Amino acid sequence: MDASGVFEPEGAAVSPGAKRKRSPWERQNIALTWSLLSLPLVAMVVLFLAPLAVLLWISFGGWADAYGFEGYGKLGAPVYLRLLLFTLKLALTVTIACAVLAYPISFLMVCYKGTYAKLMALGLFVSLWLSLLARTFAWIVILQRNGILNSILMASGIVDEPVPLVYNQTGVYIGMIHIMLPFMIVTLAPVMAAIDDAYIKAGLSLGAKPFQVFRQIYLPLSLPGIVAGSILVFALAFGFYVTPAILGGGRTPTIVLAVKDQIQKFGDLQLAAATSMVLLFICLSILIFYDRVVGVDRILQRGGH
Amino acid sequence: MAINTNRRRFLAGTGASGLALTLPGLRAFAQDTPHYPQLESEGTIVICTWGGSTDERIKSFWMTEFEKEYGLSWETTSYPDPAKLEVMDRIGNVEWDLVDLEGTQMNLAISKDLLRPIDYELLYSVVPQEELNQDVCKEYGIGSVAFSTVMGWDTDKFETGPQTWVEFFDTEKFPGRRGLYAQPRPSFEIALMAAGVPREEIYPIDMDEAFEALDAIRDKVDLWVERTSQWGVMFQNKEVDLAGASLGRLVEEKINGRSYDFTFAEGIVEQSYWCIPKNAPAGDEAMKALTWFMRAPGQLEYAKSSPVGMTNITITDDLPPDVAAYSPGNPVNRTTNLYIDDVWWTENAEEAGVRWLEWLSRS
Repeated sequence: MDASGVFEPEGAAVSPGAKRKRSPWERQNIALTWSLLSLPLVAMVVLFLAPLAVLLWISFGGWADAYGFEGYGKLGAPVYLRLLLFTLKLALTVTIACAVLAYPISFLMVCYKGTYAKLMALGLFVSLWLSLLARTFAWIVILQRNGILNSILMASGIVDEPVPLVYNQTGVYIGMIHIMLPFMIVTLAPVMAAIDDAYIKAGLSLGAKPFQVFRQIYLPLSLPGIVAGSILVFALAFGFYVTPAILGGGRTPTIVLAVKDQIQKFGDLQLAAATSMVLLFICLSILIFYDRVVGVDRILQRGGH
Repeated sequence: MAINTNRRRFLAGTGASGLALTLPGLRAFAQDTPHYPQLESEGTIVICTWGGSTDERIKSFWMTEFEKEYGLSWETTSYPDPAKLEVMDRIGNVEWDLVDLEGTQMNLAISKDLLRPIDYELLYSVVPQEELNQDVCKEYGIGSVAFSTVMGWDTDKFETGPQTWVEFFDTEKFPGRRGLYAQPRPSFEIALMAAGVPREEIYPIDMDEAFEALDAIRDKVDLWVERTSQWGVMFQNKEVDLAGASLGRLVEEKINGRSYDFTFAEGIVEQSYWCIPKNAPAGDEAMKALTWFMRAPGQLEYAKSSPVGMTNITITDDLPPDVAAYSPGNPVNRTTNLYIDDVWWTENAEEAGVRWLEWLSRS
């Protein structure tokens, strides 16, 4: 995106180097842009950048007035790497699964206007409103050894022994995907809804096969939704610990669980801050890599085509 | 400390339905209570608790009467956390006047100089020293409740359950699924007792030995439990046959006629303390309220409502038999208890915590 284009209408750079007078319209435009931007900018600095700076300061020992890399040094323990890798795997798998599941659901919601779409949206939002713990426990009731699903499977003779569906990684994935799915749909559906039918009709009328239209027109146009949704879901899933801890039967600790211990049990704010900074760095790196591959800035250009 | 947080929060939750002895609290006061001029107070204190019906108990057994008699109003908030206190203290905005900290949390707060000493002169001028369990009258905190982790079992499966942790892990005598807390404390203690280490020789824990003991029971534990609220779901669906679980939760199962029983034998007891932050805005008033908390009438009502150990030991004889049977404060029930050494756990929290996660996540 050409940022300067926003502020300077064409012709502004006609005589580079030379002092040029801005027209009243330009000046007004700039003043308006900055005045509208000022509040969000201040909010960003106060609410996001300042706490981050404090965290960075704590991670280097600022809190204890003993500056150093001690906090980062402790992260060398192999357990942190193992927990990190598991958490990354969990977040990545959940993100991909959510994208695959959310796509047809969002498509249906967008296509079926009227009662069906409303009911689907309602179901989606109701699950978002319910407490996270309640939903986690609901999965236990369904998936446990004497739970609903196993009862059905056993009664119908499909299996003889209860299938271990929860208190292991299976349970963690099922629960996490369910909890994250609405976030993906909520991000994806509006993008799909904004795709103009005319493109599809044009493609079809020009003789493209339906799959061709989907692959060459619909999918690329809906991609920004998937990109935005997967960033959101990945970031959220990365920070989860209660659901994995409960549904995993204790065997699937995440890196965030370790951070919680560092704060609440070790009372080591420096270590916790250092861990958080490393996690932030890793998340940002993944985001930048993702951006190189699929282009995050497509999200920002939506509508520009 | 979410686990214990929740173990406690659960205990908080049991009371009302659990021992279900209504709330006859106020009756106990009313008559014959002398007036203590030294407790006259004004303003409002903020009490940081584990939430749930703990807040209800503070209101019914202590603060309603105290406000009426001595003029102090109160608010409650959640949850006690020394890290939060440290931050509040650092930025000069301590919001709590009285806080219910677990032993290890209190030690952590002391090590960071966040607490002020208890005013025993004031306390003993109202509650005689000999009424209080001196083991839990510490310089910076005085016992709030002691809560227990005990062995429980499904009575449909086993008529009589294990009486020692060695038996608990005897898979021939007790074949079945086992659940324990997904926490080093008290899993270290449980594993060591299961390995045959006598109670009095557990501390100081040799961590290598503890992990060897944990290795030995690893395959026998089917479920590591993150939150106390999980026990109810597990018991009601028979997900576990044997559990090293919260006493409060097991008492509730038993009272409600479900097929679970438990023993106090080799129960593991952890103590929590009322503490006053060093820079608490209304610390003096909080001390007056705390003094009031320690009087026998309120302590008795509290003990009737929840299976926890109280600090005023004169109440033991006044507990109704049905309550006394489940009370960890009852001398009969505490003969073979193991008391958590919170000093050891504070000093070794970091090494134990990291090694525990390492051990638990090993596939």
